[in-house]
Amino acid sequence: MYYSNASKNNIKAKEGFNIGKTLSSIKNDFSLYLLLVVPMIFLFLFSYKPMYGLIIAFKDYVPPMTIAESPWIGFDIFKEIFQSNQFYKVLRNTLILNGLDLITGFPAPIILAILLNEVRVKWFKKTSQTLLYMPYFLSWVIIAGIMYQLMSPETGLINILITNLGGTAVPFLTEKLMWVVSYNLIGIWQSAGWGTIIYLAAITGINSELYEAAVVDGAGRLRKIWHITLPGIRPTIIALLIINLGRIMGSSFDRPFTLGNAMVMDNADVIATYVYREGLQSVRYNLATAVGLFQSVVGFVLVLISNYFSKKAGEGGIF
Amino acid sequence: MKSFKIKVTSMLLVSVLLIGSLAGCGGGNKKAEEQKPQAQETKTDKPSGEAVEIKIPVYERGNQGQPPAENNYWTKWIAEKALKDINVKVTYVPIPRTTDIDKFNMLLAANQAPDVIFSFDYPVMTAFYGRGVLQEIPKDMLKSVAPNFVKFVGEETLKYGEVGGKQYYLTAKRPLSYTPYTAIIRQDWLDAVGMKNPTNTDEFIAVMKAFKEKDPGKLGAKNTIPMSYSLKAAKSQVQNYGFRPDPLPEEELAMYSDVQLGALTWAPEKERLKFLNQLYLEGLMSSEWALDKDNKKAEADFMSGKAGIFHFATGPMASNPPIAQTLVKNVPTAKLSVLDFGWQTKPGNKNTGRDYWPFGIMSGINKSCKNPEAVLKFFDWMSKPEILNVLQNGVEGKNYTLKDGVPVPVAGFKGEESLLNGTGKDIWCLVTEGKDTGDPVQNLKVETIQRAPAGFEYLWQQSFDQMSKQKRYPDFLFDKPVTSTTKYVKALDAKWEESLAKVIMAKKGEFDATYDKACKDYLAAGYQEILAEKKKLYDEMKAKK
Repeated sequence: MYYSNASKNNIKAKEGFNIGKTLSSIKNDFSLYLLLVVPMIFLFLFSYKPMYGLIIAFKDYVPPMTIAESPWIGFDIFKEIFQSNQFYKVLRNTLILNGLDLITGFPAPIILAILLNEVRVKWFKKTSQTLLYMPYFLSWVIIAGIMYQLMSPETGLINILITNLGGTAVPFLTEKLMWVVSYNLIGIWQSAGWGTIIYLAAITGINSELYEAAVVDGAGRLRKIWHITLPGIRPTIIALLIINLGRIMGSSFDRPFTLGNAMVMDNADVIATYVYREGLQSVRYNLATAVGLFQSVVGFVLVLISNYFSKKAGEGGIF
Repeated sequence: MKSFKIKVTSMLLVSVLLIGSLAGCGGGNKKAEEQKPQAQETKTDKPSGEAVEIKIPVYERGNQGQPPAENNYWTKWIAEKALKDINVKVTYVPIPRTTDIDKFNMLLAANQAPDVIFSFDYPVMTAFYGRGVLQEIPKDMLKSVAPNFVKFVGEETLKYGEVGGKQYYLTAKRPLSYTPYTAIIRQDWLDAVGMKNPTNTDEFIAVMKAFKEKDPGKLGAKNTIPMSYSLKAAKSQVQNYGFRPDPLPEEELAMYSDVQLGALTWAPEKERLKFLNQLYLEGLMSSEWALDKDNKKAEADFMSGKAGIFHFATGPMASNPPIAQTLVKNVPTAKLSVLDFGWQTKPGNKNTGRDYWPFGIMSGINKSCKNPEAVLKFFDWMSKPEILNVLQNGVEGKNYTLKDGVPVPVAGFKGEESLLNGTGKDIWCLVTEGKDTGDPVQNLKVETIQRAPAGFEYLWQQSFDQMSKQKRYPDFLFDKPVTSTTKYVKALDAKWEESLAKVIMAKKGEFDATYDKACKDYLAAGYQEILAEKKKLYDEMKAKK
């Protein structure tokens, strides 16, 4: 009852802004608006209020001085960042690693979800689903520990197997390019199962009559997937793609930090680890903030652009 | 009616949520308010005046089987006793040993740093001083409030805590300038191959080759690791002494001898790396050393009897972790010796090493500390013999028994009065690095009894004898902070690890090219700037004299 009421008001509101109408709609659905206040407060406290700290990027802030007391330095820190070779290296690594994740890691859950959807035996489907998203709940520290046990060049289980079978050991985690591949595959292994949940939910939402009609028309399994399942989850795919594009500049810290080692630093050092080391550990909070700001701005622009194109292509976008 | 009920229920739910979230926001303040009355409560049973609360840092080493460093029998004992004796309420703040500087910085940024900020490293303290983190300790106040401390440490030693004639650090006493950061070798392997403890790099390589080829451990040549090694062991910044010229010009000492920064570009360091490169190429050390960040794999290899040499890279030889004890359990025939300190000394070079300054940990008083007097009172109280003796030895009859006036620890004592990490040093290191009997020989004896692994006291003695043979240089002390060090030290630390991995593992014939490339990167990552600043400061200091 409330739901329908609110949506009716929403439609009205779109027609034009009118104070009287707005007030009366607030009055009508007072409890709903009150409920909205809670997440709003949360958002304000934890997303907007900390933005005050962004001014650190333009200040020479070194504790014990407070942020307000620290002198302004303008764009000095940005100049320093954009002149340092190290920054371009970590930027390149971030883009390469995240780009690879996007290319290989983004389709993986879609494929997996479709495969799971086609499984007929219920218990098998359930069990494999659970097994698939298990790794998502492991912390990266544990995953890295396991992977080093398995993949070390000489003492790793996999390489012991390979050498005993007469092959030569593969430097999964110690050679730069191999490391990138391993990093990528381990990432897919960890998160693909979890990613299927949203797609499976979207697939459930597809009208089953469509499938029945397709069967009547003589469509095989692949045809059904191609013409019904995939178009059915297209909006979900697009929305997730846009969100993921926004993340291409950002990077998780724990994954590269735990999987990286001294031998592959050339490829493993990403923005997050750079900020941790040269910003936080070196007490250069302005550098950390400036890089963070840069990351957010680029991410935001990427989201806007992809949203724009997705709207152009008739997919609606996410806002 | 029904809709009214729903409305009321939802309003109630919402208000609960709201109150909940608001309460969550106010949490920080509330806590602080809650703590206050507690402090006042304790005050009531005080004879005079209000108890002053101070926060003191303590190193948390994360060793297995130890109680939390900030909350155990001894911290409680101190809190109780100090409150009674000097009306000071002491709470401890744990500082992880391996990331101590980070932790202090974090606490400083959050304005929650303890009243005392300490470090064993002089450059770290000068950096804190340079940032304005510390407050001056007026000398007259020090003398009037902490006369016992001044007398105990000695004015000569306290002078090292001065910057420009003003006292900033409270330096602890160092009665015995010795800590066994050392390496041990399998004496039974040496005997089996019929060789002597190697005294220079050539002899060392010969011994390592013998270990590999003759396989004295009967493990199969493929499984024998002549020298267990780790990134941690390679990283230790002060190992190039054996490749330094002697006498070493003071300027070079000032520029390159630094416990925080690897001197990658310095000629002696290049020679050390070349030596390690040779060991690596000939398969004489752990092949996966660069993946072993914390020396744990090296520990495991040595304890299981697979390796011929072990480096105590994460801390001095001590009863915990039980390296030697576990080895002997696994391989009952194993015998150990301290590896001759000359093992990484170029043939013909003098065996030199790093010396300590005559002070231990340096404690500064946080600028935001409201009661520097209470801190001084606490230091003064701790340096009183009746307190220090208890902190260092524990309870007579439980932790130790007296034998000829020397407290001998009760073997295997496991009660709650157990000293933290076997010595309790992290608590009393504020005033001294060790026990002082007034006699160096006796000091070593006392230290050995308390700190060496049980049954392996002779290793301590051997290591001490080795050290006594060396000519030792303490690091150069700059009178001003080298500000660029703070700025670049972490970046350079990461580069240092990367360079070590690349250079030591350089393929045959590629060593020089790899080294030159690494040096270029290292200089560009900030080392150039640090060297320039050090040179400037050094020249200024010389000009003054």
